[in-house]
Amino acid sequence: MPIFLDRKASPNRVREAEDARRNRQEIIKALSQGRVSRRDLIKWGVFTAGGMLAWKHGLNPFVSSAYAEIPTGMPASPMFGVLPFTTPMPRFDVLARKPPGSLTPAPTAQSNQTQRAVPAVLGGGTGPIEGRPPGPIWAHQGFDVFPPKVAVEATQEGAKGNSVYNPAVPSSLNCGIDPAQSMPLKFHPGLPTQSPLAVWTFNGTVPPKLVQARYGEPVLFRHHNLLPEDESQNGGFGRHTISTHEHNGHHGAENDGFTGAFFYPGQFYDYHWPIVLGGFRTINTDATDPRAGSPDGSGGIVKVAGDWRETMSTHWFHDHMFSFTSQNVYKGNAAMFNLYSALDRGNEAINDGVNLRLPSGTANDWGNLDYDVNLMLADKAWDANGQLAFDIFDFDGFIGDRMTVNLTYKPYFEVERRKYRFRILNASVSRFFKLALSDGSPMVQIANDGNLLPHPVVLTELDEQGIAERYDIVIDFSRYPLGTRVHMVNLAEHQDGKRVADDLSLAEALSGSSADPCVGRFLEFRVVRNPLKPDQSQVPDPLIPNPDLSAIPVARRRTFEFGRGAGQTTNDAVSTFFGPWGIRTDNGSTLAADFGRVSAAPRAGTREIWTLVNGGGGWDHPIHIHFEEGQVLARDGLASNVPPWERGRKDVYRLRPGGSITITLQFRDWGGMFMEHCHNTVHEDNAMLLRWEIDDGGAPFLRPLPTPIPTPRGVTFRNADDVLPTAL
Amino acid sequence: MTSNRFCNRCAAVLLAVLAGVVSLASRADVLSTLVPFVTTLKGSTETVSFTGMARLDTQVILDNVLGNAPVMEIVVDMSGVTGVGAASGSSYSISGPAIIHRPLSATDLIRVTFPFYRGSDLFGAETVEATFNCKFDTATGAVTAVKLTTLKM
Repeated sequence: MPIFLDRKASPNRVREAEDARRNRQEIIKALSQGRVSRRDLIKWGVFTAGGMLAWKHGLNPFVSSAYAEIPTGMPASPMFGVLPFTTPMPRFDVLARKPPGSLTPAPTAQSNQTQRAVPAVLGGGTGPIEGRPPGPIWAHQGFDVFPPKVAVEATQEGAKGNSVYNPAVPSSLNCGIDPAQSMPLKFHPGLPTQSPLAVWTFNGTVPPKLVQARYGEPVLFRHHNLLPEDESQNGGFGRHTISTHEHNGHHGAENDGFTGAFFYPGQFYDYHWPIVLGGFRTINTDATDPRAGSPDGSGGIVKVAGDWRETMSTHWFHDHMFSFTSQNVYKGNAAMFNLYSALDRGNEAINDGVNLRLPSGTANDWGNLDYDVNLMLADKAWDANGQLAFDIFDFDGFIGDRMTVNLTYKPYFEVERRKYRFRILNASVSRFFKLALSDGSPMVQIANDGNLLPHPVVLTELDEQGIAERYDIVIDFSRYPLGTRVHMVNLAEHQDGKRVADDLSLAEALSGSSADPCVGRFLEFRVVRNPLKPDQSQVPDPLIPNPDLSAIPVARRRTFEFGRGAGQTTNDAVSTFFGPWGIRTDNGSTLAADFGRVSAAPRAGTREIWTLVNGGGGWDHPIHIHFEEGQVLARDGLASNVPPWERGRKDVYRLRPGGSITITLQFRDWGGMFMEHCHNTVHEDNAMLLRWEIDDGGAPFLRPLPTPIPTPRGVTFRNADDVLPTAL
Repeated sequence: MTSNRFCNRCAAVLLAVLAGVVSLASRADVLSTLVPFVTTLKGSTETVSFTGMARLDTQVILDNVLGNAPVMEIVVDMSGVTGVGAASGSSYSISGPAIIHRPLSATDLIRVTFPFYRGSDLFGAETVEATFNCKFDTATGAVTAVKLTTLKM
């Protein structure tokens, strides 16, 4: 069953599908601009109450066709003669680290409410320059204890050329790309340049951005919103208000990118990322354990407080705008964040008994990227003009038909005959991947999500990788002769956005017989030379063991079931949303998202056990719980069902169709309101998301925090409009 | 699970739907099948003889809400298989498991690759492809017949 129209489809069929796509884009545009609501669409009969596209001629391209079973039905993205593996994969663009004193205005603990003129299109009058909610509740927690040592500044803006590309590696390690040459925003040199309304990235440019930071080095990330003031200027999809989530930062909630703490064009938001180890208030508080440490810049270690077993490595950050996350992330609001520590310092030569010496390089004390490569995988689609296209029909998910790596269509990457670490992020909207090498060679998985595993795992086929999951793997290219070309292959075939339809064998995936255009080879490794320097890297065993939580009493057990048929108990125009998806908490009702509702409130300093249940067998959900890492205790009720690569700490939990997963989490160090949601962001937006918050006082009753309601003229607050009886 | 029990489960599901219950059990029981795994593979450094039992855990997953076709979750676990190097006498392990989702059908070729390696030499791992030619009872997901072939890649 093809997802997209066959290349051999008749011109009439293609024309019909193009007409339908245009019509659908009009509806998406109206929806993204707030001119209609999903309720309106259902009332008008455009959507069914189940969230499916209604059977209307000229809207659904298959109404009059024989392809009635086809779920997406987009015309294939035109390739303009471009062939796979004909352009190099650019390394990430490393954002500059600046002294905090260079920021104007200087960052402040509480939101900077200095007034500015609000553009007429946003209502006029005046409003604050910073979009962070005002007052003490949204002040940076620990700003005095962890004052920023590094500032990173970025904009969100429409596509433009990049003339300041910093890959942080020599050109020889970046396929010969000359960073001094301006790089237009294209998915391939042979494809059209993206318009400023089609793509909105960090700094408006490609390659995607990378932040590097160390433990003990608090970061102030100032994010400027330079998107169009007029929300109708969005190229048909995307919302110009944003909220930036540092996934899965152990930070105060005011820096978490809460879905309701979004900010407007012309504003900035200061995110304070203290970069602390979990448990810093209670474990190793005198900072004496060298394993809890950070590179000091000259080969040594700066010890920090906290539990060294909570060290994290691979994060990313992305938009979390309520109900528009899928559109905004797809449009380009996604970047990666490498954290460095005494254990994982990004230098493979320093032999101090702590450093794990993972593949990276040796030139710098820390953070070498020579052999430590970020890969952002994402499926995309574009229209007849080659401009990025999006389709929310239906609410089950969005599947693109073109594979990109680092926002480049099916690139190649030159490697030396040595070990490389790849930090692989699934940055898709709804697509799962399952990766293998084209010759079946083994790979060694060393990390899952942000965390190094207790033990490395050698695999020839990685597990399915859900949206937002990160898999760090090491590939040893010394096994290949010079001149070898070997490919990374996707084995997971989709027919729609609900789940993987078929995990193909390597032979099936390589055969080219799959109707899913994103199955098969998508990244070509070219083995071009022997190592310029000896490979000193290692993959030791063990890596990082899990914190032992067994002595900590379990304060609560909770169950969250993710399913369809959600109802809504509230109707706040800003904080609620309507969609077929929802979450059922502790055997209550299945509820659609309302960021004004508190669904759970763990007490600070406690440990809980949460069971996440997939309410159906027809779909999968990668569930993300903000702020706290979890340890997987069981799958479908059994510890023995947990595969070796899930025995570390995680922040995204694939439920598998009809499955369940039981995890344990601690709640400590910081407070505030956080989220739990499906990271199939179409599900999240429609409306599989809930708010939970850490109760701060240990009182026998819950004191819900006020809900922020942003406007261009400032953030107002409302009392929580609902608190589930089981929340506390 | 017998087919009668499975039918009873289906009936219970149907009753639950009629009663308007939203949440429905969608996973049948896990059924395990042990498959003798005896093969000799010519590795790059020595020939390795493997013996033991591969385990296939199969589970039918129903879509009780949208009514889409069922899928099969198949876990191929090779932890019961060990190898011995002909020249060195060293022990070899096969890593895994492989977890795959396939459309439910009466017959399927389950082709999965696994790394095998000596001791803790992860980067010396080589690859074996195991092909399980399976017949399934589509009502229960039980493997009714299976033939295993292996290939060193």
